[in-house]
Amino acid sequence: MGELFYLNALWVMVATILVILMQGGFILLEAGSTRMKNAGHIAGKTIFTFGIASLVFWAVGYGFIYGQGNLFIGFSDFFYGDFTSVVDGLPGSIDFMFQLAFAGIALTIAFGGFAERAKLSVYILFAIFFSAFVYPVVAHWIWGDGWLAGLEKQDFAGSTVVHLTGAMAALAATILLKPRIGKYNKDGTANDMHGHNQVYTALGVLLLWVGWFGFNAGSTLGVDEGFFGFVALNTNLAAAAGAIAALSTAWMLSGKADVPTVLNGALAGLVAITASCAFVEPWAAVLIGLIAGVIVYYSMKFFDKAKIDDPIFALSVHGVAGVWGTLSTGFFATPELAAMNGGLPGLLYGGGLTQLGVQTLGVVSAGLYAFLTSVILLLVIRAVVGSLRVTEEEELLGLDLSEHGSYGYPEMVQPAANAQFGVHEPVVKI
Amino acid sequence: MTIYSAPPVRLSQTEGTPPAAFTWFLMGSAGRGEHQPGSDQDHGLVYDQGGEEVQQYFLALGREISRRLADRGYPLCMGHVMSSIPRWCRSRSGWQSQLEQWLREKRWETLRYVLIFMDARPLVGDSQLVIDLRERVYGYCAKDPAILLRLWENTAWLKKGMGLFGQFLTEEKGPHAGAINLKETGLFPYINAIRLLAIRESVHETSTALRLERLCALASYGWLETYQAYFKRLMAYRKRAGVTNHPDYIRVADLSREEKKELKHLIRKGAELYRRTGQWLKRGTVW
Repeated sequence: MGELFYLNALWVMVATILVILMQGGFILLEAGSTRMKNAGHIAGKTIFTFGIASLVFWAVGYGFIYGQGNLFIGFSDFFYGDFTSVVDGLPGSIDFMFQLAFAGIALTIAFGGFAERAKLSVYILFAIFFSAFVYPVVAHWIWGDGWLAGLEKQDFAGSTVVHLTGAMAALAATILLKPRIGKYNKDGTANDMHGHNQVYTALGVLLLWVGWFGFNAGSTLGVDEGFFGFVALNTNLAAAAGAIAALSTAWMLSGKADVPTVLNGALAGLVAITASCAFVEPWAAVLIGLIAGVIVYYSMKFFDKAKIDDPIFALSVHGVAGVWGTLSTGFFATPELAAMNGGLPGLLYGGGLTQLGVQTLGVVSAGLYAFLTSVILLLVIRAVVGSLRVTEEEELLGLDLSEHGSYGYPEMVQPAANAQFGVHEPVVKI
Repeated sequence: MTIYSAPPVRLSQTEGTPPAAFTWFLMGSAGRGEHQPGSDQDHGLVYDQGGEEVQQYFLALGREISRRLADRGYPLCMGHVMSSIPRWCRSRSGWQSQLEQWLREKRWETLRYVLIFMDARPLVGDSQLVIDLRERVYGYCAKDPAILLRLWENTAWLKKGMGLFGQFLTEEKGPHAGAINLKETGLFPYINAIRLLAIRESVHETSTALRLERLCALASYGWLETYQAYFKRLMAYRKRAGVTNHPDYIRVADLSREEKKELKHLIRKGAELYRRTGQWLKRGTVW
């Protein structure tokens, strides 16, 4: 074992910690983007579902992705645990931990579609099923020995594997759960259901932005030739461009530099560059981020109009930007970087349509699989627990009280429970 | 003899004779005759007719009643269900259009208001005014049976009385630590289910026990009789809790083994009754 081996191990462990810290970013982002009465619930469920994801990933998830199997699924290495193995030039345990952190992020993205109305039992069951049957299958296809890996699909850090998969599960959930009470009026117009704390949301985005250096630059799985620095550069440029593009778009089209849109723009840039960060030049990273920032604005509007209630914009930020990011290598992958990291150069570098075709096939197949499987799993869960959604009373009261028996901010309990009535009506009064 | 079963105190602040015939009624637990010492006040008022001035007169009357009751130890209602609030103090036609609007809107809170009104028990004045209003609600629900299901959903949330292992879930903190909230975990599902069935069958009684009697006398409600017995047993526990502690909270330590077993059974049956009521409203069958 040379020095490089230990340096690689150290870098990937640091990256693992950064990616796990992204859960903190999601806690702030999701709690800030929703109403105060659900803040404690959102924060708490993020922690315990990461616990569930960890155990399920250890038991079967890792094995389904990287185990010996077929083109569809892996089937060995269950209940992972070994201090002697070397995987990808890393201690097996560190490689495992890094992969686990990604599985946790995919699940948290999926739960964006559940926000403010799903039952706690549904969160628990879906965490188990998604971590076993949805994420690992897509990850095996693209990152394991699956059929898309065989076609050399490019997805460096998971625009498809993590973000699109999570977003498609979120889409399935938000469709089956139906919109939150008060989101749409009888005439079909949408109401803005403002988040309760934009500072939380912004801090969440910052934490995610920083965590993304672990997500993307860590996906080099080593420090060899300092390539992880280049990946980090591209990542930062795309995030910056996404924020600026979303800000400009919102300002030009609505006259308002809407803060949530800016924040979503930065995230969309990050999601989009996730697939392409190791395949493109910095100028292309800027362009990819800019386009992501523009489409996230339109996407948010589209889902609102389509009556799909997306409380924390998971569908736009992770889904639509994930699709764009995956396709972007089909245009911008350079010959050198493609030779280094797999697949073919993009359309702009004379690679023709081949890689773009593979990327499209990957998006469609992985997206469909994640969506349909999530729908089936949620229908099974519904059959088991009766309904996916809390009662109307619980939803109005807020999940902090009804699902957890305590309030995120105890001194605010009565006023918050009353706020939706405009007067002081205790909610449980009969 | 509480103030809720005796004529109210003479009022001095609202001068002269009332400008219109009116009925003052109780709601909430007092409307159902199931109130306890310390229950807060829930009341409303309907007057025959009149313009803005008449409304102002009765709102002032409502304010005075609320104040006097508060002076005598009936806490003001946190939920503002009092005849001093315009929503609960209206003319006959004002009430009619308000009830209709509540039912038409079908929002959670408007339906909750309807449910609160269904327990209105006239105490002063001509009870026909209230009966007529309730009849309108019955008529509306008969025309649009889906409303009953919406009303069922409205009170579907139930505080858990027992855990996964069949253990009591007692209050963990505060003055009632170690006690079960009998009202919320045990009685509410019975009260809420029976109210819905009373609406379905146009029963005008407001107490749960009387509603049960009237319902059980109907041919299709044979299935309800066992629940009637369970409800009586629960009320007995409540009475007993009131002697040593607080009527709404029963301390687990005060119960014998058999009593614990029985109480758990009664709580389970309440949840079952509520579930079956939902099926009854949906499909006309409880199985």
